[in-house]
Amino acid sequence: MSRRSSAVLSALITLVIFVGLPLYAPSQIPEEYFEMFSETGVDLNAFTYQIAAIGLIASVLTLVKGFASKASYIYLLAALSSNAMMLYFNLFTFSVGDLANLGQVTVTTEIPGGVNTMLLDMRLFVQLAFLTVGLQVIYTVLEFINARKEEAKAGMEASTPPS
Amino acid sequence: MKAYQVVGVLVTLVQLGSILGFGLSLHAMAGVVMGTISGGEIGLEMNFEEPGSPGTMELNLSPNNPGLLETTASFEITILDDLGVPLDTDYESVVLEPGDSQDVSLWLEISAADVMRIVDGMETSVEVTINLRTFYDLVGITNTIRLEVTEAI
Repeated sequence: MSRRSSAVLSALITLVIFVGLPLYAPSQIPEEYFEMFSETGVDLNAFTYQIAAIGLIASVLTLVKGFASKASYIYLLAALSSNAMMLYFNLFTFSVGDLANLGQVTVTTEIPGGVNTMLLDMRLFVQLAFLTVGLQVIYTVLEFINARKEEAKAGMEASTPPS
Repeated sequence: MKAYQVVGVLVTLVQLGSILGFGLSLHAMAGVVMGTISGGEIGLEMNFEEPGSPGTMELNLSPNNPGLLETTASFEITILDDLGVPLDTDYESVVLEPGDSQDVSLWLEISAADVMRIVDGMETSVEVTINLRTFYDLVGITNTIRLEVTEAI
């Protein structure tokens, strides 16, 4: 499969999972669950729209990466933006919409006769997301440098007349 | 192998580790919560005999761990007066190996004077905290339920 067709396929899959699913799934959730979520302070609609927006941008970036030359600055910019989007997605998901939480989420709900407070500690996965994206940035830059070198080498070989 | 390919392998390993750790942690914590609620028995017993004598409260739980990771489960029960000052508290922590089940019994003793204040209409509440830590204690969930004693009774 060529780079372009795999980019189109990858963008389509991203679009279905991160845009189609979050926009379709809420219509299947009963109204009382929405009310339950709103009591916890989590705006489920805003959350799903944000996920869909992230998915849309990620799909476009995947397409750009598939069609641009690996040695071009457009590819480098798209790849770095893609890494940043991935970090944003992880932070957003593990913090349930509030980035300042950094993976530590407190949800308080009123129950008959009292209050229920739940604290989720997912900071490890936020730290791992930072590590992954850090490594991905290094990978992107090294891959870009390698592609530039190979392109220059190919250019040199093409311009050298055969002896 | 080129440098960027080595970094690519590292990225894949960290991503796989993260996904695996996340899945196993959620599985373990959800398993202990569900196992404690459905698999074991929960009993909250309050005993206030006649005014002038101390009262007791006992909470019995049988948490079990159907997950694949060792989980540390901590339980705490506190009875608080109308100002939120603890009248008594008890705490127990158990380490649940995969497939393991243990009995937890928490006991509160309320002095005769405090029993009198409760009988006289003091707003009292009971706070039960369940804290679960798994994946080498790096991931966790803490659930605190605070109930008015009149409702709890």
